[in-house]
Amino acid sequence: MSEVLVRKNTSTGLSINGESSYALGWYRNSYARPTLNPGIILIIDSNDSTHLSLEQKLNLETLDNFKALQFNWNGNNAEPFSESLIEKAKSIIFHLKYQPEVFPTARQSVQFEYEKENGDYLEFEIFEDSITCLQIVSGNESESQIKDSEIFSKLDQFYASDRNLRF
Amino acid sequence: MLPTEILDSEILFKAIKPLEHFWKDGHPSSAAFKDSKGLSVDRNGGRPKQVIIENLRARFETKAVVSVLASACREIGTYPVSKPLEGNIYHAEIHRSATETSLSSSLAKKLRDLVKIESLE
Repeated sequence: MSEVLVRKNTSTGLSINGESSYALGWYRNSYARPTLNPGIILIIDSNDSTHLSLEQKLNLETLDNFKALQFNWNGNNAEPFSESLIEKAKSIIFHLKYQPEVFPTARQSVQFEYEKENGDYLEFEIFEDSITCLQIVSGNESESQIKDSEIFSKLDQFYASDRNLRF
Repeated sequence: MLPTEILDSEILFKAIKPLEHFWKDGHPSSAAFKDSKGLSVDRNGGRPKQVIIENLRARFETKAVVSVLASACREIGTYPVSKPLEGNIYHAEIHRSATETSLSSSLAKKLRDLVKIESLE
């Protein structure tokens, strides 16, 4: 009987026998589904983070720390963060090529920030049911609500002409 | 009692909590200025700056106190509102507009860029 180790973490994605990129495609875009022969044993390991970058691990840890923020954590009656918001933010972190700086807000959202030394700025505000994007590039500013999947294209555009990242 | 209208010449002070997640590169993130209940600040009300800072530090667990001129708030498009509380006649809030409380991301970023750090631990 064959044994395939499927590692799954709701916040960090999947890997199959260490082939994380294949599993990532399956998880993120659903364009490739692994087929398993009868008799294969699936072992689910939900604590694997070996394929994550240090920045991803730190950001996931930061988001987990937000769970500890109780009512009134900001001194102005801010509500605690919902589990589903934190999980949504963690799921996005897992898939981002460039890691943001992560901040809590007192309006039930999590903020992802990218800022270049030239002042260009990209911000995603993650709510449970929506995402807003603020982009300031060469002094031109735009703010709008975006689809979840647009985060990736916005980020690629932001870094398209400048690989000088600032973490 | 302070006048209801906040004058352009007034300085507004805000305590920033000692959450490491609010800070980057020595200044607060704009996330620190996003509050669905309104961005809570204190008017100077003729008090010396040091008294205001000590008062905020006594009331809140605070990493920093930042300040901004009321006229500058208005210039970027925010809307300072007097909101005296029982026990704190100096309390005010910075709103998005006369009808909307929470700042847009753009306004929060502008406010972040505008504030002056008065005290930092």
